[in-house]
Amino acid sequence: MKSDISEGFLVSPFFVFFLIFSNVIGVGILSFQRVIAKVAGYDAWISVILTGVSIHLILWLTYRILEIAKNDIIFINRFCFGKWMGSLLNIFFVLYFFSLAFIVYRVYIELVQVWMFPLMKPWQIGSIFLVLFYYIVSGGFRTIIGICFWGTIIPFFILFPLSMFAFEYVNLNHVLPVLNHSITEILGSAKTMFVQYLGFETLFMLYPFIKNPEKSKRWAHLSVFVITILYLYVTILTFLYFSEEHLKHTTWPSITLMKIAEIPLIERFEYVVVSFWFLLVLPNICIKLWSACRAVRKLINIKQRTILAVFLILLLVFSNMVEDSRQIDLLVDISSKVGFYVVYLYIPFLFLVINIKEKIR
Amino acid sequence: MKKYITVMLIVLIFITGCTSTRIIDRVQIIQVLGYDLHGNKMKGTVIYPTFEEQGKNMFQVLGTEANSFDNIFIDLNSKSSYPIDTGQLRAILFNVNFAKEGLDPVIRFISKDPVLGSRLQLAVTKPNTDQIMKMSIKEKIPTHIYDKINQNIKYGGLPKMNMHVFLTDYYQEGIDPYLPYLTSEGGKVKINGIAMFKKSKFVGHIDLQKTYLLKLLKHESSVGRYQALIESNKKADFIFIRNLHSKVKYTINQKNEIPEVRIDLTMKVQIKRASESIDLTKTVDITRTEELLEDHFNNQIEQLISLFQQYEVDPIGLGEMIKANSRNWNYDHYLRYYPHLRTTVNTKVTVIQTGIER
Repeated sequence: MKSDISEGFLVSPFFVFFLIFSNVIGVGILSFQRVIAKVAGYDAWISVILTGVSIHLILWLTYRILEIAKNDIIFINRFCFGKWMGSLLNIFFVLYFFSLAFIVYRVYIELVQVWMFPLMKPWQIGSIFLVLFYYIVSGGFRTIIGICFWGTIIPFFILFPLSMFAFEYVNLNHVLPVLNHSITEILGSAKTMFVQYLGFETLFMLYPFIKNPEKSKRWAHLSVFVITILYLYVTILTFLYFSEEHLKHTTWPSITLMKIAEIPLIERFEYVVVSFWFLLVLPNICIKLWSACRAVRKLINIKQRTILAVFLILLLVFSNMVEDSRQIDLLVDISSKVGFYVVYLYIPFLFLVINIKEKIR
Repeated sequence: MKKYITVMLIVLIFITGCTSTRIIDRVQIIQVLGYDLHGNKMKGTVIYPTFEEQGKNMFQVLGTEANSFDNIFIDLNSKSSYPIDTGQLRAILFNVNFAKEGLDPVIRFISKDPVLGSRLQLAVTKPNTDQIMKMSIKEKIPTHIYDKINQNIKYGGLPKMNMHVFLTDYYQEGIDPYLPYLTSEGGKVKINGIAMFKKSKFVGHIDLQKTYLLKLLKHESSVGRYQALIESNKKADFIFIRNLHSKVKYTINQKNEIPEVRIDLTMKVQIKRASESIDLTKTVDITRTEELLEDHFNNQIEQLISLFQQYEVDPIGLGEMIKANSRNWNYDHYLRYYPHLRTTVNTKVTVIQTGIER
């Protein structure tokens, strides 16, 4: 079960930290607070911790699967479920990675439309982005890693300094009394929170590209831990800053929160935030596109650049077809449901199957 | 490959032309927006600058009447030579009569529009807003009213407020929003206390002295001057103090059906001027002054809270604090008992400076 990737394409284990981080943190962090507060109200910050813990468990399972297989998901599916069933699952994974990339891409375009250029069409912004996507993804795995580094640094550079301005207006009374919601409500919020962690499954495609993959395990866990802390920080700050009813009326709480920042010369920070956020969304989309391309290439042997071009054109076409925010919400809803089954049903199931298969062999 | 890159570059360059532009001298940047009620019609007034030459701005006032809130912008646009842009809006003013009808349409507008800043100031004016605007134009600074309010929050007697605080208080159960109350005096705009709101409806206003007490009750502060009227030896006297640091703590007792609130206010003050009968070199007199001031604050704050209870408004947010301390919060129930809520005020004043004169 040895992978056939030459040494020159491999990356050091600690890059997994950046890979997972920029793959998980995307546009969701700008708006998730309102969604998670729907069920458990202002106790939803507990749900963030719960979800983080569950993702650690799933990540542990993922590594167990990958350590047995020492190859990517395409191989694992064929190995576990046979040629036909396995291929069917692989096609599903291609679609899954592509649709995750598409959602991030479309939501970011919506962000630009709402906050900066309301009259701009998706294809106008999109065509500029697509050139960049092509450049990065066709540059190969190592180029993506380079971009991932920036995707990791930027949220810290933007979120922390800008959120300082909000400290002046925090009110602890908003979150008190703690634990005023039932366990089912808190779990319900945790279920909506997990969408924000989607994307770490691309590890199933990246794994063969990591040098000494056993060592990357702790970096992956550290990454998930840092992500949880970041989400927790943003959640609690938002809850202290907005009253519960006000949050319900705020579509992009993180950006509205950063609007309070005011320094000489730059009076309105949200323009800076939205523009900078592109550097964060960029690696996020690129990894997912790359995973989809790589998966197709392993399924049918055609050039990765050709597949990439097809995917990019599809992105452009679909992003124009989705016009209003209700359609985007619907898409997010569907993909979160699918993602839920992938993460909490498929991965544990795969873990069982691969263990049994391994025993039989 | 080179051909592809050239094509891509050309596409990129031309695509940038597709953006919707807002060029600074092709839009009407409004800075103050005011709403009045004229009979059963609404009147909207805006101030916008016109740039004549470098460093020289002229301010124009543009007004229009419309039958609904949303029509005002359409009407204003039809009178303006460039499209109206709200990105630089600093202050929104409401006439008292307009505010009495409720600010709901305005709240819907300001919480939807992404280009409005969170630090925008809202204010209620006693005269019509166009009069206030004409007065503020004379100051030659476009952000005059905005600066005036912010300055008074930072150094004067106004509690923290801006659009964000207003919206969060408006939406929250158990707290009512408040806005600065502007009047005119000798051709100048004056901040004359605070306008109290029952959720979105204006119900009344309090003067600057009471506003300062509200500031002490709202948050920690280390600014503000205050003139306390006290009675010593059956004679009305003034003590003029400067607040160096104040802190407030609320304790809520929920044993009874109607909760009781205990307010502990600690103040460190500097005495700027006291009456002849008080000798500030003597420790006894300083202790007596402290006691006098404590009595004064206890009294005044209790009066202020009962005034709020009469109006059935809660700008302090006592309800919010009760909510934070109870597991079975019921807003309607709270609204019923709020006028009968019992509060005890416990002020502790420490004089730590008495100036340089002995």
